[in-house]
Amino acid sequence: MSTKVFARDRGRASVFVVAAALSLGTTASGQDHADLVHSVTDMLRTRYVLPERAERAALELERRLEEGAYEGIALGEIGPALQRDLREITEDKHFAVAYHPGMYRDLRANPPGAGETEQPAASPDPRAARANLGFTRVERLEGNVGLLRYDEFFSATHSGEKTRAAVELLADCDAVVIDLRANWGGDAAMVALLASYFFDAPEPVLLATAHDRLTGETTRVETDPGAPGRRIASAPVFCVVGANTRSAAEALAYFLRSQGRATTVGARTSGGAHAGYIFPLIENFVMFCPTSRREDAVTGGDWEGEGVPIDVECDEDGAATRAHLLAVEHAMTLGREEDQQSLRDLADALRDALDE
Amino acid sequence: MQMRGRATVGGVALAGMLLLGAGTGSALAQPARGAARDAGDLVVDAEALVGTVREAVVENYVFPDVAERCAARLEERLGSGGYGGLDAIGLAQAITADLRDVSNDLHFSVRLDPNAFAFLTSAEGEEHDGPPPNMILRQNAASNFGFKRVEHLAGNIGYLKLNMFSDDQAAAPTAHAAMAFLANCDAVIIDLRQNGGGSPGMVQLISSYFFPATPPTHLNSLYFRPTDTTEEYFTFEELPGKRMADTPLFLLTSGYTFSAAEEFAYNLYARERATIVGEVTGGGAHPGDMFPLVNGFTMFLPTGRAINPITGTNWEGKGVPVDVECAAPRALERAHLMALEGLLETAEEWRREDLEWTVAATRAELDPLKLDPALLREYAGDYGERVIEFREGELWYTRNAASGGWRRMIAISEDSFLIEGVPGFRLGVERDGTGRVAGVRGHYQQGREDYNAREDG
Repeated sequence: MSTKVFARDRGRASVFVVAAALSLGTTASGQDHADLVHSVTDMLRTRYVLPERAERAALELERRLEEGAYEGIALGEIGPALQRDLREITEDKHFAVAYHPGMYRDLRANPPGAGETEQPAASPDPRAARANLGFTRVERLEGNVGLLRYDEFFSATHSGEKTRAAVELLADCDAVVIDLRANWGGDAAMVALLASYFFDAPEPVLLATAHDRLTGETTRVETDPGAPGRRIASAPVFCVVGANTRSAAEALAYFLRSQGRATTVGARTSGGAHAGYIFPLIENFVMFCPTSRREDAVTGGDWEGEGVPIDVECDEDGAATRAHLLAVEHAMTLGREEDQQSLRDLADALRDALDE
Repeated sequence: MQMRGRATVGGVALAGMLLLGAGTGSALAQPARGAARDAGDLVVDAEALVGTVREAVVENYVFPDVAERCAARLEERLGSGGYGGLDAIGLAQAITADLRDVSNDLHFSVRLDPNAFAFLTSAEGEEHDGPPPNMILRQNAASNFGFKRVEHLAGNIGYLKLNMFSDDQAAAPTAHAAMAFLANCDAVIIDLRQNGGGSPGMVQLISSYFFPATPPTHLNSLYFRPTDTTEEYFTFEELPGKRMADTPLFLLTSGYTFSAAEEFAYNLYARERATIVGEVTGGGAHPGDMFPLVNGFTMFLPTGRAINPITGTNWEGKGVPVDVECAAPRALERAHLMALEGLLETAEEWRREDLEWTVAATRAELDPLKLDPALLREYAGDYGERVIEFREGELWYTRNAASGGWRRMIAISEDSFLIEGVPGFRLGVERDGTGRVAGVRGHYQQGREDYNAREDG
């Protein structure tokens, strides 16, 4: 369970919410509200990626405990209340707290940060194959523009073949549109793997530096020049984003943009730049705590709170069509004589569609 | 590069490629739907053209007796002045019409195509074993070798929109990638509704994914008159990707579906390997080659015929038998629903609810429930953050009226609705003890619910 999760609100985090709702009235033996709150504040102080904010939030939670804010709430129901308070105080929407005996047991046996090398090879997420590893659609749009709709970053370890196939289907395009509007994030390692296919440098391209408070490590987020398959090295990339573009999806758009490899099109994104782990708390409770942040290799910053900078701001619903138009306008500059009339007609049709 | 523009004329460039790449001498292609209009004023020697057509047909058309009848018709028409007063394109069309009328063979196609003519009469073009020329390959690459779209549909159903069967050598990496994209799906839908044909080699390659590795399955045979030989097509024992030998397969067809696309469907029909959904297909089972004529004219000439190992016959003039007939524009939803219902029959318990939601949504889109407008008007109103409006006989919904985001409501019962574009969610309308519409309840697929009371009286 020590796979780093780079997501908010959904997926594993949402597992917590549901589990908590189902566990009304459950109490753990011998442990009370105060024990739970203190296990959360301990976690904040020792693990949360921003130490100063962690201390402020811990003090505030302890104050609320003292004031009796959590009295009268069954222990089994306290997860959602703590989660709400954590998110409110820290302004970090990644936090989640839940009652989940099964996950608690697994995490006790196999705690996060115990060292990746000692972990048994992670088995594939059972949802992954049924979700096609997040690759929802690959399409050749008019004007030789490729469209990839990518909805979730599943484990990079298991995504290699699907990624390679999707890229192969896009590799002859004059431009590529990546639709991330429904992508809420997922495995941080998958960001670097997918990004690898948009560069053909023989050396790794440094995308960002990740600082993880859990491990105390600073790691390089970089492309893998050895990733098998073809590259989309020169065709311009348009990342279509919106309010539901979160976490790892924001990372991909942000990194490709700051490398000058992508143009972002659409509306303000969610603004979640922190990755973290699920930790065990007191008996049967678990918590998602953001432990790491990343500094973009070019800008030195991240997108926490602000979202990804948008190059072409537009209504989210029309953003894929807008990106298609931008791609066609690019193709017109390639100067292939025989294409000009059909590209002009196509651009007009796309403008008409956007005007509607 | 003028041929590139011709790519828009359904399958013309493809037919060219097939000829040029016809290492096996075989091609199944959509007949031309047009020709180079800017050359219509070319001075034409009708007699010379008809002479070359006659000669090529008599020597090469798959049925010699029909070829003789075609020749007689051309002679007769020429003798009676029936080809007079036509420009180049008009003449090509008139000859094509006569050939098709006598033979009922829609593969016949005479065209004015100076580029193809020049190539076919060049040293490179006369050598039929070479790969397709780079120009054609670039053009096919720009359309992704016909692999228009792959998609993961709701319920883990794979979808491939395949618009041509491209050269099986050049397009192999793309084909394998498309199959890898679909490999984990619980059912696969291949859309042939806009597929006019192409290479039997690509038919063989894609088909192989849907059969076990061993023993090889005999898919089809093609007999060619010029060489008096029969080529047998078996599934490949070795493939680079995962097979889908037991995955339910649905094929979508239309009246446009033709030639190699029909071969693909017919082969699988005969092996009872696919469910065919849509319209009866065009009915072209005679592969052929592109022949140069004179003065920039070329001709696609059917030189062979398909002989299915199971049925002993083919689909010429009849089209491929359709299992579930429906209007082509509805075929995808129909097949998607059938695929989901099939999965539901054998689904493990933990998947059932998920599938049932998807089935309900697909069914509602395919066959929307019509509710009384008076009832719909009753539901329109303010429910706190949720607002429902009645517009022109339909209900529209938003959860944030200030920022718009209006979406159409699709009824699945008298008081339960799907919201267009919002998967995994239903909105139920609830009444109080007096029968008044009192509120709406959101039902989420994961089991969560939320409720908003009516706020506008």
